[in-house]
Amino acid sequence: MMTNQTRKRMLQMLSKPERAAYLFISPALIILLVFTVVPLLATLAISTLRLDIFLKGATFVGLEQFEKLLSDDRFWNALKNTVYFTAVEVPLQIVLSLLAAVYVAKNTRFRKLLRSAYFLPYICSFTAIGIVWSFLLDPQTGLYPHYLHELGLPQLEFLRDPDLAMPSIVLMSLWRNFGYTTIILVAGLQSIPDSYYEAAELDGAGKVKKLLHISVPMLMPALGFSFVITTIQALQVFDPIFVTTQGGPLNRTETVVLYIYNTGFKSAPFDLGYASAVSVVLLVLVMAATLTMNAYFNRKESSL
Amino acid sequence: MNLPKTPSLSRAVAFAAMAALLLFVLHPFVWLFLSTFKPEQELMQYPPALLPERYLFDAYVEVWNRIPLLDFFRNTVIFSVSVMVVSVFFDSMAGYAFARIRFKGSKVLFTLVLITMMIPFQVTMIPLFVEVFKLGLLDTYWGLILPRASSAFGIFLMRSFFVSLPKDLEESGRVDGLNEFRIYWSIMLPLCKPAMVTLGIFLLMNNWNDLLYPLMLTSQTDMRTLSAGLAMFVGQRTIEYGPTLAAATLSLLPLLVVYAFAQRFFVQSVSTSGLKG
Amino acid sequence: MTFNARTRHSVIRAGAMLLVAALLALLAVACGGNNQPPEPSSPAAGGAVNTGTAASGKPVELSFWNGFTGPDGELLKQIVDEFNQQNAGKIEVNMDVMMWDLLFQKLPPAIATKTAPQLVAFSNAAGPGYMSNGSLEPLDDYFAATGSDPSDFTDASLELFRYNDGKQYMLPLQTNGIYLFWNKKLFREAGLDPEKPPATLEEMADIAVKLTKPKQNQYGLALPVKSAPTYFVSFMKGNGGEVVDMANLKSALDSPENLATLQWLQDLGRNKKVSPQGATGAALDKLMLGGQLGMYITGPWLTGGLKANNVEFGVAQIPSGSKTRFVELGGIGFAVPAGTTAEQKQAAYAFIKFWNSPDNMKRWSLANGFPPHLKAVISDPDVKADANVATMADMGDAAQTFLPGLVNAERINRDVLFPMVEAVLSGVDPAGVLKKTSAQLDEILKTEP
Repeated sequence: MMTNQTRKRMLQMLSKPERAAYLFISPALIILLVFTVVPLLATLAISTLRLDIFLKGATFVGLEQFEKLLSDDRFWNALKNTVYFTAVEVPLQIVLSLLAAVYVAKNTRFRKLLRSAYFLPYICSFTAIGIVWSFLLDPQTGLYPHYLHELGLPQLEFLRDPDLAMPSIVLMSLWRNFGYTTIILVAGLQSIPDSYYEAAELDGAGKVKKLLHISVPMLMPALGFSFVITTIQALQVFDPIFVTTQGGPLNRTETVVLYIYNTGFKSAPFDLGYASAVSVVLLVLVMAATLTMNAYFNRKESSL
Repeated sequence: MNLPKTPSLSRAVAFAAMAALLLFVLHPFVWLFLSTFKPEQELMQYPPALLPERYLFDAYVEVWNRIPLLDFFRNTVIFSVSVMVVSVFFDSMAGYAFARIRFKGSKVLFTLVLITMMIPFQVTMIPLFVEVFKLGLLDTYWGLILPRASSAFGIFLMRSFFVSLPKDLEESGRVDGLNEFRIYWSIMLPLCKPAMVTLGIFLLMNNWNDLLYPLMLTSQTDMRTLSAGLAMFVGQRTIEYGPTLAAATLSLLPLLVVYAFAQRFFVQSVSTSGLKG
Repeated sequence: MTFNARTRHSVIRAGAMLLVAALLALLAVACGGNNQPPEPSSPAAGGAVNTGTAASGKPVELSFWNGFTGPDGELLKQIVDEFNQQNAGKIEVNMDVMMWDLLFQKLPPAIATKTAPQLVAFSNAAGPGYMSNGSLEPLDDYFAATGSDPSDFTDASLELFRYNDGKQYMLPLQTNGIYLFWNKKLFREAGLDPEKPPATLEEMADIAVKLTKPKQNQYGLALPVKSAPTYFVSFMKGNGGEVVDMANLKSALDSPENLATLQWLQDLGRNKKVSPQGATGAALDKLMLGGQLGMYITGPWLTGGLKANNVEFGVAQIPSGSKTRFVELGGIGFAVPAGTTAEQKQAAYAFIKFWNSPDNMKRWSLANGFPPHLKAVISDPDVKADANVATMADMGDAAQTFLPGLVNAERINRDVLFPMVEAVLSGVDPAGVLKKTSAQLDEILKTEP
């Protein structure tokens, strides 16, 4: 039996901020739930079926698609390529962006100009980027191999060379994305009060010390964010490869998402069930990687 | 104070590195822009050259004649700007809550948000298509805007920035008797302008250039966006390079303008000293 | 901590407003979805082609999906516009062009959700995937309904679009083989007769070597490793090899003839370097259009670019191998997805007839450099005067379909055969490659319906 007193006390116990919190997150969460979680659940369901994109006649096959996956050489190749790409691109991008951010964080005209310039590639669509870079790196008619030739260096095959193709893709991806990460880190750097740096200078700290002992720790949220986001994106890399090598040469640039696309959506029979199963595996992989990272950075944040 | 030689050397090295980076970044753009003035033949010639032999506007004329550029532009603007505005609003609210308020289930819900970023779009696009169809939103602006009205990326970004604000900022607001929404709106949000602009630009860029998503959810040519227009010159067997490059340049220009404009908001002389006492 | 009623009230108010706003937005648009695809109008009686207006007095609207991005799409659009003008008030065709990849991703779910277009065009190779599961309307009554005669069309062109069950599920929009394009200027410079293309594969190989000068970025023969027509099938079959035993649906790859062909191919590509290593179709197109490539086995779509770039070129039939000559016949056809109403189907027939009229076919043929599939147009003097088109049309018995009726045809080309060629051209031992590929092929063939 609820008395008025109990009810009033209960309402008082619910901390105001907490109630507000639920209201704050609800619009975003509703959208995500309806338009992202539901298709996600659908994908999970489809991964247990044999289904093509005609969406007719689904048969439940349990874990059969996953078993198929485990013995699929091409899947493992795709996984290897994906891990390679991520392991190379993410650290390179973060380091490059950090160094660039430190340089351009000051608000001088030149550095603001640099900031805009570095961001430029991010504005391009991948279709355009793919075409531009394919042109520039074309061993026969491209400018860059030509420059190398003029300099007397061996003409590299870039995107056609099985060993150079993935590094070329990494380069393209760096070119495009580092500007954005730089901006994020600049925004983070600009919220660090000058007083901290001044205090450090009084203690005789040089550039490197200031970077490592003030900038980096205070940038933890932004750095953590950048790391997690770039990793998630790297593990799902698709666009730069799709618009240039399409997974070749010799499948050396075929990543997991590209493999999903090629199996499920490129040509008949469009095996949606299998594609979904591969996506589930990718999801688990990405989850494992990023949740660990996120936990690590959370701990760093709370020790601020 | 007499500075030893090393700092100026390091300064020079840093400058050289940044300049080299600048060259690396800009060169493809220079090539792109110059190449839109080359006739198709020149693009294929050997040996390749950076500068065009003559400057022709043919490629641009071709683009203008072939695709309803203004229609595509309008659709792109409606789609990407709406998504940007709505998403920044929703994401910053949610990001704030996750960052600054302790509430039951926040860890679990935030993990859920993160997880939604981990499935590639190619995979969920068909279930999404069916869902949007069932909601009767195919071929509508709302059908394009709603699924993107909130983004996990945005929530994550905003949360990261709210976390980095000094603790106890809200307390001063509570002491002053403000309700939670006022605290969020009048105190926290203005401090996050760089983050909001960053997010806004990211959303704008991404949705402006997105090819697959709007193409999947619309069936009428008059709902198409600029990126679809760009793809019009890419035939399966024959790519018209001149017009493709011209279309790419045209698609770029509005974003350049927006970015130049938004630069102002990045300049932030944040004095977070407002919390003392 | 002050929990006074006033602040609590305003929080609730603010939050409630947000929630309500979000929900209202969702509801409003869910109920008021505009721009729905046109409702299928009530079926009209009879099979007359220009059926006149629907019951409500509005023209029959047809949504027409195809993948003609690029220059030929322009002419297609023009012809559609002309049709709409001629049939103003009765039929209106709304063309939606998208990249082929995307079309194949959108079409099946559209058919599943009944939002499919009424008319669609795609390649014959993609056909069986739709024909095998009842996604297309049979079009056998086209001839009776429009008063056309099947003998107006070449047999090959109709055969191309018929399914194993004998029904005509698609009708020709354009057909083509693949041909040998050669650069006359490069021939001349090498001391060869510019008017005499190679007649056999051996001759072709010899010429290719003569024309290869990597230092000057000049190559003799295109050997693409992806995104190109399956030229190597002409080599294999020409030398007496076979790819798939169609009767038993088993791989016939692992044969001494194929091994010899692949070894020959590896020698040409790897040792004699007649083609840039690892090049794709698009890259070789660029090379050819830049006048740096001697010979290229590809389809008619290259003609436009060659002319625009002032390359002096000729078109010939593919050289024959030691045993025979094989030219892969392919094409793009019209299809009508299942669920289209009878009235819409008749309207679609009207457009197909308009397209396949001698005048329009001739325009398309001469403008894009494609061989016509209407007998009347083949014997038209203007068409005959165009040497390239005339050559293309004259394929004779050598022109056959490759992997007809197989649902997995495109996948086999893309995921099995081209990787085989790529591996061989990058130096892997052909015998091993053949065995592995043959096993892969069998795996896929087992899944055929």
